[in-house]
Amino acid sequence: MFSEMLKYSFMQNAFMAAVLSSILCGIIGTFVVTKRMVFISGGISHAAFGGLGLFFFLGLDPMLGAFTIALISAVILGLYSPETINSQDANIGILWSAGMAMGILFITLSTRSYTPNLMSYLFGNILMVHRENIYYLTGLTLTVVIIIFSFFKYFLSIAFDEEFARLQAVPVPFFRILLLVMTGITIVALIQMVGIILVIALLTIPTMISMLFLNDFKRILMVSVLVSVFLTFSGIALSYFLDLPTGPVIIILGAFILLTGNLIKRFYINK
Amino acid sequence: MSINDNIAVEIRDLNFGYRKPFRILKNINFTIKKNDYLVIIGPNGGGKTTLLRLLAGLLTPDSGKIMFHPPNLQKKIGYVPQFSRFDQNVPLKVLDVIKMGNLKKYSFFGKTGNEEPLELSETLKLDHLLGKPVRELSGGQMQRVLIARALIGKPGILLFDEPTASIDSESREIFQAIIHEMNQTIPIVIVTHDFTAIAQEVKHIACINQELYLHEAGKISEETLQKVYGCPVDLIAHGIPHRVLGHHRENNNHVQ
Repeated sequence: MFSEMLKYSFMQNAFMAAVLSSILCGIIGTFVVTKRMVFISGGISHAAFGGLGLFFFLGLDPMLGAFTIALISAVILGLYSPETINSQDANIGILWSAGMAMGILFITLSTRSYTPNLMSYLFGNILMVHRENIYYLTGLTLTVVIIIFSFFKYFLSIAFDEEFARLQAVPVPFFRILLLVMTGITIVALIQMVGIILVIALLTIPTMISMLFLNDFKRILMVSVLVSVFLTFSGIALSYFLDLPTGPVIIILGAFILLTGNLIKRFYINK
Repeated sequence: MSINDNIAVEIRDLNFGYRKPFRILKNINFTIKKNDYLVIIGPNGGGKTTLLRLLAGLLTPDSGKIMFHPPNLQKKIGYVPQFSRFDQNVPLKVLDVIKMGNLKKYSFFGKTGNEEPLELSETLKLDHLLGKPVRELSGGQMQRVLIARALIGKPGILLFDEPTASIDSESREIFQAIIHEMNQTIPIVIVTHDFTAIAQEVKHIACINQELYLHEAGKISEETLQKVYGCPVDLIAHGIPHRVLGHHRENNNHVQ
């Protein structure tokens, strides 16, 4: 049954994309969850949708639009320190909804004969990932892995205590912006898999599942990658056999495991 | 040896405010000697922590100078913040936090090169806690971890922000022993509300409430404290009642 599924090249692409996205999710997601950057990431992903719509309207590559706006938003948000970013709460909310509204408007206003399926951007479709996308995703994943592990001690010490990192002459704003830029790029890469609406779930659920049973940042990061691989693989297989959209199946499966894990921890482990 | 040879830090005409035109520190002048043990006290909102953060280089003065002697002392600051300042949501083990005190030397992968952190953790009685997540530590244990993190970088000056707030008696004893040992070679500056916990070997006391008044320890009186706090203060267990916040005395001369 599984070998039959893997005969199709679009399924092979989907599994390859799942592995690469899982590496991105596990690494970036661990920073996003532990640094409470979920709302910021939501703002970036929805602003990216505005860029996607705008570029589509202009007849350019929509994903390039999403990428550009995600980068710009990440740099702007990275200029704020953790103490001051919370005061931007309402502005991030506006960025969130204005980006979304812009995306929908531009796509609707587009007079071009080919109208994209709005649903595919909102909820993604991993089965539509092409071999070319895999090459991009591989390059992106390698870049993120190299940057994070080359400067891991700086990223980690900034996450824990920015002030102390500054005392050791670590260029804190640079690394803060770099992390948000990588978050933005990861979000855009994941849009194709699970779409704008669900991207935050894929970024957070694997780390949250890992954090149920682990207390060490490095291990949480590694295990989050594995959890993400498990979730995406299971989700793709389940959606194939049940003939359901893949993105929502991945997320619902993750949410179910997270809920079950929470209950097990609460009633059996912490009893 | 000239007088200047004995000076570690010189603070000249320092002014600072978070929002203009309000100044939280006005025309601050004082010196920290090479083997000084300086305690900074004062009411809430008086600028104690702000002054410490300026000394650490975490804030930039609006005007005035902070001069370190020798200049590279500025790069050897051991800073122990109040433990509420860092992010407890980041899941880290005690050993990793200690190693963060010297990022040039340590990474967070592998077990080689851990001798120095292990030795320091024994001194601070943290050796049994090295694998424990920091968010599960008590206030006293956390304070000791932050001290270890400051010491691992071999500081040339130590700055403490409320080090004895909510710590147990064991941690307090360890803290006092460490301070005593470190003060043999480097200056110590402590901001505190809990003066009684660290009073034993203090050499100078700076009372601060926008302006700063430096006294030799033993020469401070209840009257002096009353001037700074703007109300009668119990020298043994002084605390600042909320009702006096915002009341500032005027026309006092600086004491150097």
